[in-house]
Order: sequence, then C-alpha cells, then structure tokens
Amino acid sequence: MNKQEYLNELKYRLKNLPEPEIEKSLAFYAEIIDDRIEEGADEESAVAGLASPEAAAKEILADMPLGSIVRGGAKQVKKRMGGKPLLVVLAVIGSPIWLTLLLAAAIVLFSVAIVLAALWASLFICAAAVFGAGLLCLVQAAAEFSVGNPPLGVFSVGAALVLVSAVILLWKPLAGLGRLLLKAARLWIRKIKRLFVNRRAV
Amino acid sequence: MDMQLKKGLLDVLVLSTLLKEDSYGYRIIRDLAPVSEISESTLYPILKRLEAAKLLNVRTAEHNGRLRKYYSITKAGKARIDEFLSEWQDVMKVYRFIESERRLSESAPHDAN
Repeated sequence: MNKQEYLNELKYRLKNLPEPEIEKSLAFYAEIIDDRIEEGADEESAVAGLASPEAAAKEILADMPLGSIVRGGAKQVKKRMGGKPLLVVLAVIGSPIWLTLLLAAAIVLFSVAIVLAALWASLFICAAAVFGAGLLCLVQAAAEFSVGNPPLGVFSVGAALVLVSAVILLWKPLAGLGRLLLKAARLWIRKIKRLFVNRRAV
Repeated sequence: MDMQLKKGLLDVLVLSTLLKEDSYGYRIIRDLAPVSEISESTLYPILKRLEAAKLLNVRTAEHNGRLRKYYSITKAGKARIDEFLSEWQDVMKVYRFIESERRLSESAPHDAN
C-alpha cells in the first residue's frame, strides 16, 4: 500500500466524522509517513510500519465523543440525500426494518442510562425534601409556641429533630449509593458508545 | 495492565517528551521507543486529548517544503507532570510495602493452617 492508498482507506473509514476531524487525522498520518520516508524508509515500508487503516480509524473513533459520531452519521445521510430534508425524512421512514429496530435498541439502552441518572437525582431530591420538612417543622414549632399551644410545639420540635437527624444519619450511605449509580450510568454510556463505534468502524 | 491506569501513564509519558524542547509526532514515538512501544494510532488520540485539556499547544510550521505539527508543553502540562510524580511517591510506597511483605512471607516458615 502506498501513502495515498493508506490515506484514502483511512478517510473512508472515518467518513462519519465531522470534516475538520477527518482532515486533522489524515494530516497526522501523512506527516508520520513523510517523516519515516525522510528518515530513509521507502514509501511502501513507511506505510507498512503503521497500524492498518482499520485499526487507526478504530482508535480515532473510540476516542471521539458519542455526539460527534452520531452527528457525523446524520451528515452522511444528508450528503447522500443531497441535503433535501424531505428526502431525508422519506429515507428514514422507508428504511429497512432493521434500522428502526437498531434505533429502538439504541433508545432503550440510552433510556436505561437516563433512568440511572434520574434515580441518582431523586435520591438527593428526597433527602433535600426531608431536610426541608424538618426545617419547616421548626418554623411550625415556633408558631405553635407563640400562639400558646406548647404540646403541639413540643411535638413539632420532635418531628423536626427526627426528620433532620434521619437525613444526617442516612447521608453517608446515600452519597455512596449515589456515587455507585453515577458510576453505573457512566459505564453504561461508555458501553453504548462502544457498540456504535464498533458497528461503524469494523 | 489496567486500561485506565495505562491511559493515564501514557498521557504523562507523552507530555514528558516535550519538557526538553518542542517535538513532533514521529519524534515523540522515536523518543519513547526505549520505554514504551507506543504506536502512531495510540499517540494520535493522546495528543488530541492533551490538547483539549490544554496541557499542550500545537503549532504548524514548515519543514522541507511540507507542514509539520509541533507540540509544546503548557504550564498546566508541567503542573500535571509534577502532580503525577508526587502521586507516584505514594504508589511506590505501597509497592515497596507489598514487596517487603512478600519477601517476609517467603523467608518465614510456612504456617501449618
């Protein structure tokens, strides 16, 4: 394989990426090949010493944020359709059933990540709510005392103490659980990304 | 080796090649050859990551009638190396502890249970 063939192959493997990203990657590999030649290697062996275009593309794609890969995919569809939005819509509606299924699978996977994140958020919202309720009970207690209703006031103080202390006691395990959930969500997203990248790069 | 650990090590390793002077892709690989068989395809994402994190700067300059990208380490990049070295003091402490424990266990007579 000579330099131009290598770069063409790499360009093809990266076609789903945004244009500047492709240019940058190609420039990097072209520079390496030129430097190898300058060092005394002939063109063929300079290229042969590199990772295969497939492997190189895979490394590049694996390091891209999921968003730009998906955007790149959309760009590809648009390019093929000549940028006509109606055609794009028709293509999506009329595309073979597996594409829809793939999309559905991706959405399901993504929603799991969202559920994990939502669980995490709800943990802390609940904790904040209980804490807030405790503080409100204190206000209530002050009000009861001021209108001359000590029994209810004492009850409110007790309720406030129970609520606030529950949050303080449970804070540590809660935070731990929260961290775990976040970690799980992040791992999950990375897994989905792998799925996408492999499907497009190989 | 653990992937995450290796990634972090390579990042700092690449940065360290820029300490003496600015460098370029091919030369970084050549400089690192004695320590690590790092390939172009591994180096490229690392350089991109380091640039995005502002640990290095990139400039394009002409060389023999073509363009070459030169990488230079930033202040933040140097700070990252210092941080790495001080972190690894602790890792080395753990390493030496584990090593000495093993040595002790090898020289001590074995427990019956």
